[in-house]
Amino acid sequence: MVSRMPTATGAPAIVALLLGACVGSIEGGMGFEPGGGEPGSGGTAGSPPPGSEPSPLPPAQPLPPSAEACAPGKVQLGRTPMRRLSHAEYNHTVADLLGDATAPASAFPADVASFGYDNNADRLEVTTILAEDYLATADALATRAVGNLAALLPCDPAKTGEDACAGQFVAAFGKRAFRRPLSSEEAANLLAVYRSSRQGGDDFATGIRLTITAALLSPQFLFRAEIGAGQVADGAVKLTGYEVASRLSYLLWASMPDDELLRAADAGQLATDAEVRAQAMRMLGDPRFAARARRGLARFSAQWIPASAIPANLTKDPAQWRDWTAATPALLKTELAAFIDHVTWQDGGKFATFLQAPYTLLDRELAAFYRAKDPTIPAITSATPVKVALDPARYAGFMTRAGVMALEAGPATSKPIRRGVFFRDRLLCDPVPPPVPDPKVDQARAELDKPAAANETERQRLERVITDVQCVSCHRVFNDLGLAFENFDASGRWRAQQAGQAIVTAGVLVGTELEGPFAGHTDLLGKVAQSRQGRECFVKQVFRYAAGRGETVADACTLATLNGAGAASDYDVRQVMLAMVSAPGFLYRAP
Amino acid sequence: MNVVGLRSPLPRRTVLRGLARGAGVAVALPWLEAMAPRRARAQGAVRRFIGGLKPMGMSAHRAHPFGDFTADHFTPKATGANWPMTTVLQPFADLRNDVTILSGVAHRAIETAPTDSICHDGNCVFLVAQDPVEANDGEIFSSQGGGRSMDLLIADRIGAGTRLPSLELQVAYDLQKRWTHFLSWNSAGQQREPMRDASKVFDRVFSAGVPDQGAQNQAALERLRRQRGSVLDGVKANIATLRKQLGVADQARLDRHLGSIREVEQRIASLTAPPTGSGCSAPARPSTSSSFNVVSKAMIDLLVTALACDLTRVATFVIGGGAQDVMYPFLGIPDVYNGIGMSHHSITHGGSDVREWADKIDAWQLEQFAYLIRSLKGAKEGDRTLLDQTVVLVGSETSSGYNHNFGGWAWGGESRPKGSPLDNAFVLAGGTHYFKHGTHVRYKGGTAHHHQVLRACYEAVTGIEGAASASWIPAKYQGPPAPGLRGDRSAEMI
Repeated sequence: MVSRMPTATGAPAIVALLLGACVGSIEGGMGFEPGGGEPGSGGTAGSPPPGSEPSPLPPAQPLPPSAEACAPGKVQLGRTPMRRLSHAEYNHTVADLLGDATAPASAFPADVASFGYDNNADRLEVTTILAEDYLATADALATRAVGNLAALLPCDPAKTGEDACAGQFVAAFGKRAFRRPLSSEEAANLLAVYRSSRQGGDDFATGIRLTITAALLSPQFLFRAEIGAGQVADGAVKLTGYEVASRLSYLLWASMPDDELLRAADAGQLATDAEVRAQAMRMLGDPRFAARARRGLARFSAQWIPASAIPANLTKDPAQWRDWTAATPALLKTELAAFIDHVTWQDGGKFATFLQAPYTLLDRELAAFYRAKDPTIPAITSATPVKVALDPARYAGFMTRAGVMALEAGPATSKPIRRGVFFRDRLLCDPVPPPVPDPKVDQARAELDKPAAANETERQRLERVITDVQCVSCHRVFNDLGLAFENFDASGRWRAQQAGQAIVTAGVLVGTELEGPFAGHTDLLGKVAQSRQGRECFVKQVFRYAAGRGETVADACTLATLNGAGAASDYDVRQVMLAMVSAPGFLYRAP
Repeated sequence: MNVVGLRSPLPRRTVLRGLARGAGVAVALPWLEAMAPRRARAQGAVRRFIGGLKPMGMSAHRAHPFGDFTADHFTPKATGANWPMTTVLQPFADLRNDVTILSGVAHRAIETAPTDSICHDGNCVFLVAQDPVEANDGEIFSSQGGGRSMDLLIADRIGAGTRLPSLELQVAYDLQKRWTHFLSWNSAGQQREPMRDASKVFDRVFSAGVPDQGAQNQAALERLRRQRGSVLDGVKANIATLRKQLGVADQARLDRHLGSIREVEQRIASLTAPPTGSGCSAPARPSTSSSFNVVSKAMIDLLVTALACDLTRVATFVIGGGAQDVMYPFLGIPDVYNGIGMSHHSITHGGSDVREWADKIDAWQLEQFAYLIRSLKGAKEGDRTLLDQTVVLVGSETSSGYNHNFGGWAWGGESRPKGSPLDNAFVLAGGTHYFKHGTHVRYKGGTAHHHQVLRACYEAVTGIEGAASASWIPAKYQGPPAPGLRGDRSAEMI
């Protein structure tokens, strides 16, 4: 798969001139039916006005009957490697565990993205440098935490005695930090830290502080290991209630379980599908937990829609766009975050809405930024983003937001190849392999990296440069997808013309189940939004985030469940995410 | 340069700023010189190794396509002692007798690869003897080192007892972002994370590395060490407890976690050595910066001091990285030219109109290594210099930034047919007990390949010679140490 170049300032995008076949998914062999029926009408009825509380989650649709092969007990379980907390999860977890909202992990060396998501189990390691950061951070967190010792302790050391109180603290704090009751061995390990501190002459608070530090450096905190409660008949391992609680909380909230989840685990009430689904509905649907749900789901959405990926130093040619300033990238991220939040929580969260919404959310500055190129955008006085209707002939969903279009562009030119490769990868799940090194490729790249000519459109340039039959055989599957967005310049904004000529955005979809012509970018987005390939790709994206890894054949049943939930809910991102919980393997791990 | 006043004795109460963000905690450093096993140093027995990466080719347009072979502004056009100066080697004008210029070096792993290694993946075979492995992670530049890199193999032999068995540094403009392309690999697929923030390097190397502790004196330091020791003991116990319950793959993951914790532990334990005598003085704590020229100098100063104080003996140093969009405004290069962002990467893919800028960047990057070598040369160790005791190997992840390959077109104009020898170039310095410098050595027709250069460096640093010095190299890539580097110029070379 070709991902974006790690470009902040406009290296030439990889010019994907490739020899050989381009059509067809690398994954292959996973074309199952979408669980049931035509897309239903299970969406929300009407949206509340922007700025109001999120709409309640519609009740979960009854799941379509699973295929026989996916019945419980016959499920093939995918791999579930031990997962290190991503930096975002670390930030959320220490906020929920200690009330410390300093987001210390934002200063760590960044997590490595995989398939576009930063939570891939196989890429999250504890390197030496990260261990040093963990140590310094655990120390700082613990120091701040013992600043209010009374609030931290479950007991009064003056009454119970310091050592006894330390023992109670280890049990109580340890259970929340490790997200399950400590084994006697683990409790002894942590208590030994306290004892050793006291024996060295430290005071009580220092002993507690060091104990917290040790807990925060332990793999039981930094990783999510799923040991399980023993094998069931077919070899699968049933998870403990606490492990299920963590699965739920990191899936839906990107953070640790709350007290209610831990209580449910204590009571053995996370053992059945119904119990787990009820908790999941609470977590996503109960307004009391809306903040956590919004924060959690945005971890997926802002990586699927490349909002998180917009670098703070994204620059554009100052000769062409004097109004692109150092503050612009952050501004455009703000818009995408507001758009994601609104679509998810106030407009049904549907895949098609993300792709086709004829609106966005703008504040004064954003509106001025867009208006500079398109007077149909209204002026806004609000200092916070408000919903703004857009011309549906021009704008449709996130792909037409300046943040995405500017990210998928060069500093001065629109880079249709790059946009096409992105589109095919992210929205059709059909990644384009990188070009084979060849002087022809270098020559073409040099030609395509030149500034736009005064009398040649980007489409004409591609037609002039990419003529080699081998090159064309591959480029035909994605060039048109990028050229469809030629109405958006490198700063991500509307342009009616280029090089003094009208812009042609019509093209042909090749190598997909949508084979055939499209009229322009809004038509293309509409076709993808309503297509099986587009929808199943969306489901795959959710899966990659949720599972923390790429899909394999063993995940067929889980994906079928997700597709079924999508079909029943018009591909509401919340319902698809929730379906992870309903998937037959959610309470188990592979042996 | 006068890096860090290495010849002046350490002020007994050198006061350093502490770690905490802006906390300005005073930390006394009387223990610094105590890190050095001084007896060994006095005997000149301590040797070191630095691997350096100059990204995007020693000369970016070194093997420019379209028939333009005049664009190699690195390789001298004659071999031997009086090699003619080139544009980007100017920074070494005063170091001609201290360095060897190597060119024409083939790379067997890349030669036999099914396709040319794509896009800057040379970083994963620069110091790694094994073939690269591919990570299936949906990302580009997915090649990973296929084994433990030579710098760390050397550290395994000579780094024990120092505060940091190895030190990995990278000059980067984004201190958080994980940059691709680094030289050091713990094991197959496990890249070793470099440090990018010079102030954190300082804290890790020279101070106790504890925010808000205010270790004012030795007693405070002892307390700190004791407390950290307790914490890490607890962590290790928890790792052991968890490990018993895990499957093999997760155990391996946990073992890597443990390895990192142990390194932290070793660093902290080393803070306790009793102070004795004088030796070296610490540089000032640099501020956090992402300005390339500032960071580069600060990192080199820290590195040279760390070596001089024997806090570490092995390092890798990378300026930026392959395919990184680093801008060089301080060299007078505009951010955008002709509508194209003028990052180093895009300049390497540019035409002859931007070649002057490519040269400027190449010369600046090589000047950083010249500064490093000059600094090592300026530091005395007994009757020798630190440079005499340190092998420095500087190369690039690509033969030509333009072509993206670790290899490229041979010198002289003939284009490289598939499978023919590649043409990588290096600057080699130091280790004068082993190497004889001052020449340009060019291997014609693949008479020496990459692994032989590495083997020579390995021998020079570890003192291991004979068959044992190739034990870490796959049999298919084994060959004698690269010839011509010990005053033994042979007919094989041109």
